[in-house]
Amino acid sequence: MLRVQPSHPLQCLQLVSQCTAPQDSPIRQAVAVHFKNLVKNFWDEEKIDSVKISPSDRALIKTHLVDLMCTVPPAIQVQCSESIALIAAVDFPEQWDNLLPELISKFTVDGDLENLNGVLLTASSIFKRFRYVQRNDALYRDILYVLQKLAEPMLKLFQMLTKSVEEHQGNVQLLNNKLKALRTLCRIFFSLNWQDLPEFFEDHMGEWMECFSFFLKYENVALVDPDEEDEPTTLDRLQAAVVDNLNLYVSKDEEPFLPHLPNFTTLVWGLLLKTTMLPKHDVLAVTCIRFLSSLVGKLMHKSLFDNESTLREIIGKIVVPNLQIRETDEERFEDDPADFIMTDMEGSDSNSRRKCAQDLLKSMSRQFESQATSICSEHITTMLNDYNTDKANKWGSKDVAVSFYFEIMHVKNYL
Amino acid sequence: MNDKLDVMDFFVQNILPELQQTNGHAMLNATAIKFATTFRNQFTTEHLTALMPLLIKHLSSSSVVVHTYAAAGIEKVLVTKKQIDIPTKETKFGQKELKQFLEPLFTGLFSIVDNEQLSENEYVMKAVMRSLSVARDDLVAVTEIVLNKLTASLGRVAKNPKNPYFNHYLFESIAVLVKSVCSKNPEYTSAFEALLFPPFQHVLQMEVLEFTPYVFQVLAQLLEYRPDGLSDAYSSLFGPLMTPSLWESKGNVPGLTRLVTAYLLKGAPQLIAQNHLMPILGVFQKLLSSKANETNGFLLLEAIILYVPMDSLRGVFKDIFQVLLVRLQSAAQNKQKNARYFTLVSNYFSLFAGKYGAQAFVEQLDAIQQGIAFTLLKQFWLPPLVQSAPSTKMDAKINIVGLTKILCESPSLLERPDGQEIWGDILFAIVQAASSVGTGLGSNNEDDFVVEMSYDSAYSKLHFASKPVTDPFPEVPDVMMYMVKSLQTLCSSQPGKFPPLIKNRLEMSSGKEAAILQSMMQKSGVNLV
Repeated sequence: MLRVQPSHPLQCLQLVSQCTAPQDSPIRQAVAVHFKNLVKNFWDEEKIDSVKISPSDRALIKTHLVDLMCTVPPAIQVQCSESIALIAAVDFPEQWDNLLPELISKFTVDGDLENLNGVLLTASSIFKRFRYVQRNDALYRDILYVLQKLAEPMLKLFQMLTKSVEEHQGNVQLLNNKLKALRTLCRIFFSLNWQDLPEFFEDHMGEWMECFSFFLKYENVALVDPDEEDEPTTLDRLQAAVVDNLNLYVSKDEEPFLPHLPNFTTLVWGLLLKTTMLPKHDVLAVTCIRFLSSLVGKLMHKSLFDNESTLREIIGKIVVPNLQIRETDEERFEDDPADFIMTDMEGSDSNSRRKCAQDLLKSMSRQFESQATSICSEHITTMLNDYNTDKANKWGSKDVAVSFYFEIMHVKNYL
Repeated sequence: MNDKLDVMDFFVQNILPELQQTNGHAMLNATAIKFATTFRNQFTTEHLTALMPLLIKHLSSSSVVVHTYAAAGIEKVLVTKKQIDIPTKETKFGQKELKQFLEPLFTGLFSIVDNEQLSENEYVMKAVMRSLSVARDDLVAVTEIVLNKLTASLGRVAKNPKNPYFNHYLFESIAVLVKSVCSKNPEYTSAFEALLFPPFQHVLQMEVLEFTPYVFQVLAQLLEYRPDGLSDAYSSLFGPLMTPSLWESKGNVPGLTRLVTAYLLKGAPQLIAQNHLMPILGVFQKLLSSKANETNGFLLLEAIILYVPMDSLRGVFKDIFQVLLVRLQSAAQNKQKNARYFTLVSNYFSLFAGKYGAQAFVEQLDAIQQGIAFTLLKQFWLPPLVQSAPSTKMDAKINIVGLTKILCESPSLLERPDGQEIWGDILFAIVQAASSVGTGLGSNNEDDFVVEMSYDSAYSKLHFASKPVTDPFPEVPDVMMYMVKSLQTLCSSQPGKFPPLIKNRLEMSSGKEAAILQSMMQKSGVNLV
């Protein structure tokens, strides 16, 4: 049986921590990657038992890895973080009891925010396994363990960060780091709430929602680069993560959340109207449209939308612009027909603006059939007339008109 | 569907003009085709007949999306049912309507398939398959051209199989062609052999694992249509088919089994003469040893029983039964997990008894252990039958025939102390099996109209190469009649003995079985004495 030379993994970590000279940085990087691969391949003894890492090495690694992660530059930090997540996937929580307390001990807004972000990303990647899986006793035991230790410090940290964003508008880089941390906290929120609404979150719903509410309204020109078309800002990403969390509560019909719903409907709506058609806003727009879609689709929320002017606004301001054919659609049509066909015909493209706008329209025309039909018919007529004024250039109008027609006919499968 | 809108009106006003032009914007063309396809159920046969040439025209579009949508649209038109609410196989646009379009349709479809600049398009190949299936023997005149196109495409994709859906429809297309031509003109099989063996041999030699399961199925299909025994090509292929490594690959097993059974059907004596029986039995034993392959093992065994002359088998039956019993013993440790094995063994016992008679069945088992036949019958043969109805009508027929032989032709049974009890249980099982299937036994409708056929990576069954269910007892057209007549003969041999036995056993349960037997007898005009 092969063995990793005793203490070889530890030696690697020592190298990572000590090779601080700038000219050694490629070596340091290589060793960090090597260490991660060791962990990836050999930590889980159930998967592979041809190579052994000794128990004492394992213990020492677990003792030092979090601290090490917080002292190294970002590129190395990523490798450490991944290593921690890999070990945690096997050992956490039973055999790594000090991991969470150690991570939480780094929850501070005054220190190095790069480190805080590293710590949060690490934590987030560990908790992702709570999502999208069937509940079972072992899973619930682990979630409960995490909640007991994390729920409160997490909320405190979120509030502190919110407060500091509120107070200091200045340094953009600092602000970006805070927004990043806030976003990661939102993703952790999502993981911890995915299975069930935890008691702590129910008891502190108001505090969380107050912070969420703040960020949906928050604007800061300093964060926006007017020349950037593709990359979302840290704020865009945070807002999308917040709306994802709201969506989670809506989809689960969480009762304690209901009183907050009208306020958030207004806020998300406002946010959506501010998004541009640029690719950088794709994710945020899609998330917001999804939120509206799921509300419109539920009979219990019908009253939120049940008047003609609201419906008109949603169709005119959200559906119409998002259904438009964009340059990327045309490019895919030409250059990647297989992908275009898959998304267009088989509806597998659940994250495109067009698809979300279609879904929203479909929900609306189900819930408010006669009103939606008459509003859409007006749009269809307008778009067809537009096409007839200049067939060569305005073919897109007709294409969108047909899309409208499909949705109000409740077409489920094309072709 | 929103009934506030008039689809036909919208179609005529806005969609038709786009379909009629090929120089408009491609994306708009694609959307128009999508529209027509989506709402195809609104169209009459006349509408579809007008639509078809428009779709065919768009097959020559240089836009991949447009010609793909056109192909997908054509495929859908060909499966549009006359009525959508009720299950029906009648389509609005069938062989008769399609006939006038065959030439431009296949020209259009194959111009895409042949274009090596384009990647394999499963929608186009599916349209080829569907068109071939609908056109049936209207294609006889151009069979060779079409087959050459398909094998050329096969040669290209065999180098590097990328799109499993395309490949699946490609083989389905070949299978459709074999089926529609050879089922009516069996003499064409040798022409097909000449065209298909070279590309198929290439696939086998190159060990293109994605394709071998398909190749075995089409080879089997073609062989089954052959009017006379094995050709030289088939004969020389048999030895290599027994190569153990071929059977190691899970995906190959069903197709290979099917092919070997086809060999047995067409040329069992020839195979025996060439000493292939032992290797075949070896394969059987190997298949039986794995739970995943046991069903195929029994298919092979069934073919052996049906097609190999009794004389050649006399010496091996004991071994076969021994193998089955050993496995039965271990299966009995966990009856739930091995439920399928019990059913398969039951069916085999029935087949054997039905084919060779009750006496032979008892003798074979007695040779292994005296008196074991009826113990097995009681413990393993009857329970699965009583527990749940046979899964197909043919299984029911086989079981009824086999059990009827035991019931009516085993004087030794009634000499046993528990003989009467077992006799009653057999009768009960027969009546139950009969009741579960009604009287229309043996009518297996062939159905070409499966709209979606699935590809699965483990083993892809070719729908169009599938084998009609074999009836091992064609001499028994009406199994109910056969059963009551046999019973009548038995009863009249010892008047007064059986009616009380029958009455007592059938009235032990709900009494439903007694009524069923009664009605079976009435229908056949039989009275028991």
